[in-house]
Amino acid sequence: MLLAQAGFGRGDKVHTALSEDLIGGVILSPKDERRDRLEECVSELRADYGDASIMVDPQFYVTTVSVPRDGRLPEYDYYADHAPLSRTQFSPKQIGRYVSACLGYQNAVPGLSYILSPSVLFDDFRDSWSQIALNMAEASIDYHAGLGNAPPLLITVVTSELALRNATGMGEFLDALSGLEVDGFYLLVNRSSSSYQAALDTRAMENLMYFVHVLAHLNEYQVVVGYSDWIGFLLHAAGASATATGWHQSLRQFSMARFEPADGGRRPRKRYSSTPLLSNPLIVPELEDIYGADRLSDVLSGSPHDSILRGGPAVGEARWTDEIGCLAHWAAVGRAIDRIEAQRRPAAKLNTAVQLIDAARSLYDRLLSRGVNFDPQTGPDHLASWRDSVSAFRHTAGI
Amino acid sequence: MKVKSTESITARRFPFTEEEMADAFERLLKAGRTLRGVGRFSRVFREVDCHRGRPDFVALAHGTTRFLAGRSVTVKFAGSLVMSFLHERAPRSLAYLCEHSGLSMRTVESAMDELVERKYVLRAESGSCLLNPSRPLRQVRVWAFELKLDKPRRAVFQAQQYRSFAQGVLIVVPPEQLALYDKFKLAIRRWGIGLASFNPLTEEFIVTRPPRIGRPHSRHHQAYALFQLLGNDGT
Repeated sequence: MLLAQAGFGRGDKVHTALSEDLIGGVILSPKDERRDRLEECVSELRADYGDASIMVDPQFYVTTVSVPRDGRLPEYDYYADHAPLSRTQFSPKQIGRYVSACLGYQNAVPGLSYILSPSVLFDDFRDSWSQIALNMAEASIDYHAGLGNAPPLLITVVTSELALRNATGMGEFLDALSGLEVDGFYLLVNRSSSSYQAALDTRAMENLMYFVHVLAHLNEYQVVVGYSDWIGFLLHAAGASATATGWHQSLRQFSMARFEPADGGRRPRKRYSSTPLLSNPLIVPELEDIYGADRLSDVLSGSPHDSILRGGPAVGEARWTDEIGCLAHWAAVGRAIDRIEAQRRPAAKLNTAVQLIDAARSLYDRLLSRGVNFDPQTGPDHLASWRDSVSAFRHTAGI
Repeated sequence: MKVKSTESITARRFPFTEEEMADAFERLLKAGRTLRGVGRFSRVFREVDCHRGRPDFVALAHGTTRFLAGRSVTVKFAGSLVMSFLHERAPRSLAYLCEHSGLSMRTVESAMDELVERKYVLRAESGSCLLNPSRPLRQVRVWAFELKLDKPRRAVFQAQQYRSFAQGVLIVVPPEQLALYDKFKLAIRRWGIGLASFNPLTEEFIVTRPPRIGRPHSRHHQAYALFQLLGNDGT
């Protein structure tokens, strides 16, 4: 299932995507929503879309950022009463207070499908922050058990690409997580680069797939991976039950830079999300070049909005609004995930993932042979990295 | 180990830097002479951000600069976007502009107020808007130049972007670099991008592949680039 990773400028995107069946739910962002507006949104969505998975990422990990860009978070008591926090402020008693405030708030918002635990970021599976994360997980489970009729709990794990690259201690950490009596996990991976990169480090991706596989397949937890964008289909192949992506690049991959001071960026260039290419080429010049090479239909994802670009991407670009781009992105990423979810066995899911990657690679080759010029960020280098990760993961997991 | 800078590597391969090449090329463009295969220019601008990249030079063909007699616009992005939906004879309502541009009504209204005030747009009695025929964008002929010592893939990619707002696009490289562009001849031909060699030491300029002059691919970016030039002091 694909979820919307919400952020600034939500507008009607989530409502429209749910009504068009492009997403299965949403993970809301308190940083970007007034408290009353967020609660109103949950209530509206629950009333209009009874089956939707609706969650709120409490973003408690922002409390450890020394000079945070925390937007609306100070409007939420569970954050305002505690932030900022240093490493010395996580005694068992203090953790108990953070957990009760955070879970208590979510439990009081009617309509949520899951409650997400507070957590902190760690860069090493054996450092003190990872131990704090485990302590917060255990405290959350204890508190949740006393809530009675509360929605099921997902334990938040916020690790990093760096930790996954050098996965010393990952096995022990997974052992600790596997012993928790909980419905599942909400997993975030802090990327090494704050600018968008389609692929994680090959080794980190392999370990992330293994992490998901151990929790989802071997221990039968629900695993929701936030900010996963295109790599979502690989994580579904490894067993994830849901992945999420949003409309800005900063909602498509997780980076703590989103919560740190920054200058205003320039307006992003418009992109088209292509399921056949498993990437987002620029509408101009890349998609226009593909159109000029008479190969546009090969890369279109089949979303209803494609008609805007069929007569020429450069001509249609002005009508390709941010909202349309977002809906088309969910449609494209969701299509790849649907292909994986149509399979039952883990091996079949992985085979399908490899087929999608190989087909994309072959399409890139055909386009390159026609002289289509791609920016390095668009591809196709990410495909080889993904394929290597899948092969290594299959070997490790014995699938 | 001492790390060599890009500049020192470039300097070793070429007896001049990209900056020196650009300075020499600027003198050539501003000399007021007709350049074979390109023509003569009235105004030359260096490194103007045109939203679709920042060409080393943007130049306006001789006799096509009337548009630049207008006043500068502050709402460049929204203003150019709504202008791209307007025509000289078919009026468009604000609701139409709002729906198709993805901009909020507030943004459309404020952009339109400024464009009407600066006479780029006319407002009909019904409140709908039209392009002012006495300020035609199509009258301006924009050339974009990308100078590169190396990195031909990057040069082609940038030149492709410039076709959004320019009628003519030319990649200018040192003579010995021309052969590197054979690999990109399909894309260059498809986009009508021109290729020229320029030697800053001798100031010899030769157009080896003339650009195909055609309408800019995006009315939005054409208008944006011109709004950028309006507030610019180019010579």
